[in-house]
Amino acid sequence: MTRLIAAAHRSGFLAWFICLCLLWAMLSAGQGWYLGLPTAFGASVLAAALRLPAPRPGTLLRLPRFMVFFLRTLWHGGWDVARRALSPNLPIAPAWEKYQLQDHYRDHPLYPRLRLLLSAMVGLLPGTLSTHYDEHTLTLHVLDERQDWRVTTLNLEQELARLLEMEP
Amino acid sequence: MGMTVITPLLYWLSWIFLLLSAGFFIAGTVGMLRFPDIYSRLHAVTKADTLGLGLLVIGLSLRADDLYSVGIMILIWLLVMGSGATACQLLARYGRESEGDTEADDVAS
Repeated sequence: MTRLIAAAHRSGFLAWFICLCLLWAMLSAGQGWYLGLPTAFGASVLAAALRLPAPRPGTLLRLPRFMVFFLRTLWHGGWDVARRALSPNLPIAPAWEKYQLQDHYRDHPLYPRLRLLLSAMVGLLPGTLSTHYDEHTLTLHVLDERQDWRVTTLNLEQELARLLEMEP
Repeated sequence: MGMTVITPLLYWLSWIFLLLSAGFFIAGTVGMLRFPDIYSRLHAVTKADTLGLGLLVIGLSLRADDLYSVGIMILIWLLVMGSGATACQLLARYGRESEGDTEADDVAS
């Protein structure tokens, strides 16, 4: 039994399971565990099988700073696209671009997670949308190629690296 | 506690956020109708709607009865944001792949 718990802890299963149970408890006001427990269990098994790094308490502490940055860019992103959509002459100039991730994160064990988060969240920044990525490069659809999308993406990459404690 | 008392000020402030929120939802929809291709449309829907929902959460939080419901609404917003960002990326990837773009083929592997 002890060995089973130790294995569950090592694989990250336990941390995921606790977090997901807490999430369920909050969302459902502590009800419906017949549905919540199997779902949390299944999701945790999946997370452990995919070797997703377990959530860490340190990340929570750095979350406020990240959220301030993120909410600010989210506001800019929403405002930017709303302005373009409602503007009579529809000022857009769509283009495909490549974004190369920075070299100094490559050897870090959390690099795949950084890439995944960047790829998902870049879609909420002003004028960028990621369709896919290969090893070190994101393929982005930009709404207006005259916009300074590279700086915004770089900022998000740095903030994410700080959130994940990847800064050298 | 003053927390449970909805003051007129908070009430009117919440209206500002709710109307702003509706504005962004409408702008997102207009963008979806006016933008020329699937990718540009995804820009409009994802960004404007995520921001719209965030403003809606702020507006409703200002007239919420307790902190618990505020926490729940923020949590729901985060979950919707996560699934929205992921779904958007998957749709964009699907778009590329079904266009027969050779570059997109290496993603599937």
